[in-house]
Amino acid sequence: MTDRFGLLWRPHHAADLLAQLDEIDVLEVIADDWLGRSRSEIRALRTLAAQVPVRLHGVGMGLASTEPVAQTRLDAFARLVGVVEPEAWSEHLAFVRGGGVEIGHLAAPSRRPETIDGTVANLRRAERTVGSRPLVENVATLVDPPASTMDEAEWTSAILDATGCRLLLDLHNLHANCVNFGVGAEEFVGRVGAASVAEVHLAGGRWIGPESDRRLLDDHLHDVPDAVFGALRALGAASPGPVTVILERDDAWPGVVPLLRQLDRARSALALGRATVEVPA
Amino acid sequence: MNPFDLKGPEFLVFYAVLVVVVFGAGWIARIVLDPDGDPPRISDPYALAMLRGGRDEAVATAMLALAERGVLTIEGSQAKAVPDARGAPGLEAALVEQYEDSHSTRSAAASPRVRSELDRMEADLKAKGLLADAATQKRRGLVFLAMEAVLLGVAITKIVVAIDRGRSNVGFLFMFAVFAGLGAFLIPFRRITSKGARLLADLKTLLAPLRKRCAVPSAKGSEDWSVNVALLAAVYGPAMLPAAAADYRKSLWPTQGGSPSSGCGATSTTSCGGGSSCGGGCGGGGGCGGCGS
Amino acid sequence: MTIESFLARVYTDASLRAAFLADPVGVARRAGLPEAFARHLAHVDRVGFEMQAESFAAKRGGGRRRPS
Repeated sequence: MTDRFGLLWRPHHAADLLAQLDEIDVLEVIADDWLGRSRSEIRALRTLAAQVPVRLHGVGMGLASTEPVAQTRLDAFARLVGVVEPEAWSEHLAFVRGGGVEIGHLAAPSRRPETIDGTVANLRRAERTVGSRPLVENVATLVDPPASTMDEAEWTSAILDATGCRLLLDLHNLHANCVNFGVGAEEFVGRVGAASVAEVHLAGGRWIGPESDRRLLDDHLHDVPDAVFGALRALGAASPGPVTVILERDDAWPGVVPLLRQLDRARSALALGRATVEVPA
Repeated sequence: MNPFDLKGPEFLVFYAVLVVVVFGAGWIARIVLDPDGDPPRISDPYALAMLRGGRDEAVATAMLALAERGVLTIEGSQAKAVPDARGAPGLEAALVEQYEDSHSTRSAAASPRVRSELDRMEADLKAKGLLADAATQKRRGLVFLAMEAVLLGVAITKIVVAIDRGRSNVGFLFMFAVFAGLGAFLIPFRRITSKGARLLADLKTLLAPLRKRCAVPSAKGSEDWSVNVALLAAVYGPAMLPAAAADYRKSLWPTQGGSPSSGCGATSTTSCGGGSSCGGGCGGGGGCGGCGS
Repeated sequence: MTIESFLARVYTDASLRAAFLADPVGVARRAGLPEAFARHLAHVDRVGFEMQAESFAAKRGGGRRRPS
């Protein structure tokens, strides 16, 4: 198996993407766009999955929480997976609600033993319900998660070790956390283990906030920065197995051809990293 | 109870029910006997247009794409390729060759090269189980024969029984049986298979957000524009074309009038957005933008 | 009250957030959170917290589908 490169499925750019399917190894689809839809509509996603490998990416489970994820939510996801039969599914190491209050987006959890236990319990139940183990993605955060007693690498490693889940490493999220909080990207990968990385996300962002404390926002509306390609090259040197690389672009759509060019650059970066691995004498 | 003993009006009701049952069974049989499995990848919009509407649709869609790309100029019912024009290998190249000199937009079918490309596309769609091939048509023929045997056999038997019993008011049953027999022809003999119909239906689902967009997918005149317009025309037909592409509607689809689709306006600049987000920056749209931030 | 319930409220309620950022440990204690958690809030990243809350508000108000 070799490294593969793909894009995020964007419904209102479907024509662009379908026209270039020959250049795309895999498509990632936001699962939450399809939950609750009729069977005949979900069948369309299955047809897409028959034409190009599809990976389902959830955004609404809120697995990284001491609160259990609602079983109805897991059941709905399981139904979607059952019809579409994606090659993999993934979710975020984030919470999105608490006490019935919807935050509306992915929030970085407090990195504490309690949230490790809660996340592990949610992941195990999700795996039992859906019938397969998800990849779990690191999230970017503008705030140093409050009341944390450990760093992201230690917290993430504990969850990966306890569940056997592999990591969906979002390199721009990692880059954002690095520049915002001084975390070392290569140190993070070294501590969680490059072998745990099964998939990579690439994206872009922009700086926000006061001049005295600007922070990098991962907004998926900008091109992938050089630093992220550099991190991908480093991962190529460290990672023993093939990975699937997905370029995430939500909007500010530049057209699919510029995105494919960025994928080509990712391909080169990963290959360059792999080429630097010394062969034992 | 022997249905052939039913009186005239009662037998007509029985026969009407029989027609419904036989049509339903024929429809199910056609689906069961058609090629099954998930539809294959078809990324050629002209092949999709052929699947939806036949050879003329493939030609019209390709000419639309060429016109939107500035390779063909279409004025009224005449089309001509611009100097040094080039089309993609296949149907486009054949059309560019056909329109080296100005010709009627309806003349493409006369070109041997265009016909050859259409034959190739049609054979490919049949090989992929999307259009009915000879083997599929043969299976459907058996379904048709079975339907006719039941419909006509029951009607003829009743007519014979009625005449034998001195009845002569069999005209209505006779006409009913003729129309039912003709109608039965429509059930098994569709040019498209169940798999082909499913592919088109699923593409309509996948492309539905595109229809709802308030802005054009990309700047008119760019390569992306013609690709998007071609795919919309291929899957939905000319009625769903964005207003900005409506210039050629009358020339290329002369029998289909009507105003442009309201799905995508050429002048609106607001994005309708759509889809979930695991982030996303400002404005509409969805996706997985800004995971965590 | 769970950690997530508390944080969700603070992220989405501007007045509660203002009170929290002024006295994070006190607000957490009054909410009934464990002392071990409340104590660690003394050094909350105030600037980042406000930025994060604004970002969440923008997502909620953007009209696109939210996790529900």
